[in-house]
Amino acid sequence: MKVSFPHMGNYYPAFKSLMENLGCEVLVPPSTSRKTMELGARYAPEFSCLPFKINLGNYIEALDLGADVLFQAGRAGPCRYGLYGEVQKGILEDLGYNFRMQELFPEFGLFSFIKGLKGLNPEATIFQMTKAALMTIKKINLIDEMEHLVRKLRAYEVKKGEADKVFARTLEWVDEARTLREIRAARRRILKRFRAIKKDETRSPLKIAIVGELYVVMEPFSNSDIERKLGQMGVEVFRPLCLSQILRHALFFWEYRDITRKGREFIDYELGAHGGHSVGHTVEFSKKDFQGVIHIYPLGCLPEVSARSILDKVREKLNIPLMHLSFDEQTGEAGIQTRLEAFIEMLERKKIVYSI
Amino acid sequence: MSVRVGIPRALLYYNFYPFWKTFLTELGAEVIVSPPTNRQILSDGVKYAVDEVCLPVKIFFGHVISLKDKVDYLFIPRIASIEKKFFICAKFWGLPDVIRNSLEDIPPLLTTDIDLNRRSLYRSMWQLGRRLRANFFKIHTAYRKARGIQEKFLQSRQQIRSPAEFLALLEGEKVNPLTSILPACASTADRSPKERGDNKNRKSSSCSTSRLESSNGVSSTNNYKIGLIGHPYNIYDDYLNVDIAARLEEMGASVVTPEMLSLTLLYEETKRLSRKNYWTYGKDMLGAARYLARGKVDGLIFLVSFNCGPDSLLTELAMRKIENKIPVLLLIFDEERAEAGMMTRIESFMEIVKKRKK
Repeated sequence: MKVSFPHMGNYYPAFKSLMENLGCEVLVPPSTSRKTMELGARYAPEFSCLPFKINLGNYIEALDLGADVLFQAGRAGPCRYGLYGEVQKGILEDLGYNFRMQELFPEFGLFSFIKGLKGLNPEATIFQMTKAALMTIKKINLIDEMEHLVRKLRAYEVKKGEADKVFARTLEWVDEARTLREIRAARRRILKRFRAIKKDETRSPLKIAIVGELYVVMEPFSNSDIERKLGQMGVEVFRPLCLSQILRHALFFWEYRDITRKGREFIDYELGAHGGHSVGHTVEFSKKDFQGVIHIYPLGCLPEVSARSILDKVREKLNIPLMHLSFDEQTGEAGIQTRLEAFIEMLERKKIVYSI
Repeated sequence: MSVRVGIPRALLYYNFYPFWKTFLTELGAEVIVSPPTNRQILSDGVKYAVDEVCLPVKIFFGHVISLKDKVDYLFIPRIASIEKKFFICAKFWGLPDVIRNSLEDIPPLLTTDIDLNRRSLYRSMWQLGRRLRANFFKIHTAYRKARGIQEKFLQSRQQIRSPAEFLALLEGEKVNPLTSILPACASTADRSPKERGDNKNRKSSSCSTSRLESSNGVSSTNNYKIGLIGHPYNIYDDYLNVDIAARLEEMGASVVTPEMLSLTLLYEETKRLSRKNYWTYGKDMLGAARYLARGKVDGLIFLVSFNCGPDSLLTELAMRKIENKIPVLLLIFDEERAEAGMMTRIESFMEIVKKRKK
């Protein structure tokens, strides 16, 4: 039995260790590429959102390599995500594949994931499940810590591209860690390696925050690698939304609510998924030392489109530069690059004017 | 002078108007409804709404603008969930906030948060009543009466014969129960929309088989039956859907909509089709598609507005999973209202239906 899962950002070592620790054979799908997206877009419904198409492409590629159990996070709020599994299953079955779809959260509720883990391997012991969950969480936290460092380092590094290279290499170390102790050791090595990167502390780069829909924010392929593009322009990027934050909010739900509440001047209620967070974070960042905010989401995303209408007002009232970028399978690299350059140029000019 | 409260004739107006109207009038407000969608409303909506929202929300914007000079309050409730463990599309969660933040100089919004996953409807309506400065007894009686009217509406809407009758029913007119296309299950006592989730009355499954037989004997002037499936705001807004119901009737087809089926039936049917569906109005779509596809109609037309999030997946699910293969047409509306193109598609669809029936 080969288990496979859709890619999301750089988190594949974490997902992999979850299934390996449960005693499954894991098949990591080929990393997301143009071909993945085209495959997905060909079979997906016409105006389903971009994550749906990329997920579907990942599944098709994994099934072609011989996977027979597909993994999906499952149950989620009022946005389309919760229905992904079922629709994708229908599409793939009609394409003639033979497989089983296993959801991590088959039902609503925090602890339904025990059922999901049992579904992957019915004989898994409590010990195995605990270890799998802990390993996954630790790895996710470590990857997020590394990503956070990279986003910051890109603006300061002396040799362009070094941080990315180090990240790519150290991600393999995370992947290789087999026990909790090894993860701790890997973390020490990784942080040491990152500290060794030469930095130019004299720079004062622009600071930009990225808010938006969780998949597009996290998956560099779907947002045409916006973070790296900004980094290459010498911008320090901050991104509050990451998988470890989502896991944290599953447990400390009041923190989730508190972020939405920061935008209470503009919204009285949640917008579903992370729409409220886009507004809350933007309001928060406008009061901190951020020069601008970029709001990214897949075309037609339900919560983020509502957030978009509200964010326009936030920009007007709180006077924070804000740009919306929506992505779908047609999005061209060059167009995004031009818009980013124009935005950054505007911010730099604004910074000079204000500093005089 | 009483307070004038405006209700935009869009989105959930088609589901809850009797309830809202009764509640607000009982509290002493004068209810003003915006005119049916027209060219001006559509172009206003397209102008002021963000370009990526779905068409019904754009039309909603247009209705709000057409009302803004005529009323003291705009009634835009936030309807997040109307039954336990089910949601309404995420666009409705932010609707009052979106309207408040994107339109300038509109009257204050009269809003209340309806989320049955978190609190009771009574409390939500209590909050609303207090905003209109009504006292306890008034709110209580208004609430009871509104619930009664809404329940009656839900029962009698199963007996309508055409979308035009549904609109008349919304306005409070009576419908002759003897001449409906699909005779209603006599035993299915429908509950209010607020409690659709808990399904204790399991009689409906036996009902659906009895309906199968009885629907054959219905005397109808038209030869073909076409199921129109979609959100009420797509089916009953004649301007948005280029008057599809009337055109189908001209072509000799009578129209069946999800509103003509009982809620329990829709619930049962949906459960067999999709266990995961968590949208309340997804049930109308999936349930009706599955039920009508089993020989109740000669063809199905899905009415979807462009960029509708839930429908993009639900239509896919419905079309892949209905067991009986009958002609299915997926019509997607956008703000361009390309009438000629629509007509060609509907005509060729009807040709297929006619050929197949022979």
